[in-house]
Amino acid sequence: MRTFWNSNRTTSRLLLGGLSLLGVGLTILAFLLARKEASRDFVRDFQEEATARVGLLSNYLNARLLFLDDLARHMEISPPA
Amino acid sequence: MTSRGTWRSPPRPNPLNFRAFVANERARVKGIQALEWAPLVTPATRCELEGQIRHDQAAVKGITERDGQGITRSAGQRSSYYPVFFLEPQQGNQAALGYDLGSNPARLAAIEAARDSGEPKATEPITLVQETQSQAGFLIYVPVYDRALPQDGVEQRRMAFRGVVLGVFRTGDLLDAVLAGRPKKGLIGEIQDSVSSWKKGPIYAWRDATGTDVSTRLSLTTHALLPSLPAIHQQIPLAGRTWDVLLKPSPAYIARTLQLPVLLILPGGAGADRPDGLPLLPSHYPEG
Repeated sequence: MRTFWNSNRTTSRLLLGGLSLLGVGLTILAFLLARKEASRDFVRDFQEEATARVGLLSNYLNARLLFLDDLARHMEISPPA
Repeated sequence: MTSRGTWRSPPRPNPLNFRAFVANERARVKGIQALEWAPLVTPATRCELEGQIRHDQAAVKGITERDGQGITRSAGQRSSYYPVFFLEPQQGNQAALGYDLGSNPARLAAIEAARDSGEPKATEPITLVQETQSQAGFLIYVPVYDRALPQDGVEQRRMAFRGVVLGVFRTGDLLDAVLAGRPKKGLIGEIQDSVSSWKKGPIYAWRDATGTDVSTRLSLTTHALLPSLPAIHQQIPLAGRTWDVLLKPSPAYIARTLQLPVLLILPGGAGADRPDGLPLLPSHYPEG
């Protein structure tokens, strides 16, 4: 009886330990899956925003170059003072 | 871009005409510190041109330069001068009126490159003469030639060269103007001139609200949320120079956007209601 009881308790402990490990494993797996999903969206949003900023800066500078070119041409036709 | 502004002689540009032409650009576009005209002046024409410009604009005292201590003085003798004779707006830029751009090596190098190539040229990062804070500045020159003369090679362009028009920019003001209205998402980054540094650093740095910049070490928390940090590294050509732009997400941006998995899974996620959005995990993130 005593042996049976001890054996049963050991089995229960092993079962609990196994379930705990499984729980930890599932938690880690769920975290990794959630992180993978979220980080993919995050990286896409970040790249869109960063690229948009670089594009805005580049467009701004090009527009100023065009204006300065016009200004240089304007000096060509400036009337006498 | 082909830039061949030519200057018909003997008519000469006048400040009123210059002001009228740039008024619309100034009203429409933010981020421009000044627009200027700097003619080529030789020792032979210096006295005559200084007299003309004093007549046109009482604010111009003559052709000036800065000494090593930044003190303004009358320009010394040299073979050519490029004084700022017209500029708009005058408010906040008076210090530049009459300043000989050719008295400074960085400015002169870009003028000569523009003169010889017939193309716009930007300076390396510089401190503007009208700078009152500590922003990096730069100038973009476009050469102006005498249209009556040929400009087919370097020698001909040098003979026909009459001066430069230029845009004056402070990088901080420029970036504020470019990104005005853009949501502040928490990106950090920096802009470097590909060849020259400015005061041993970038010419512009994006920091988040806590002062975090690209040099800040990422915390363990941030690494847990996003093991591989994305970054955008692009080059922008700018009138003969190249700007390297580096952008990364800030730790706060990462935490704000990616905290949901942490909230759902990790007990430490309860800290996500902290003002900076970071969960209560070991962190080196500065509190600012």
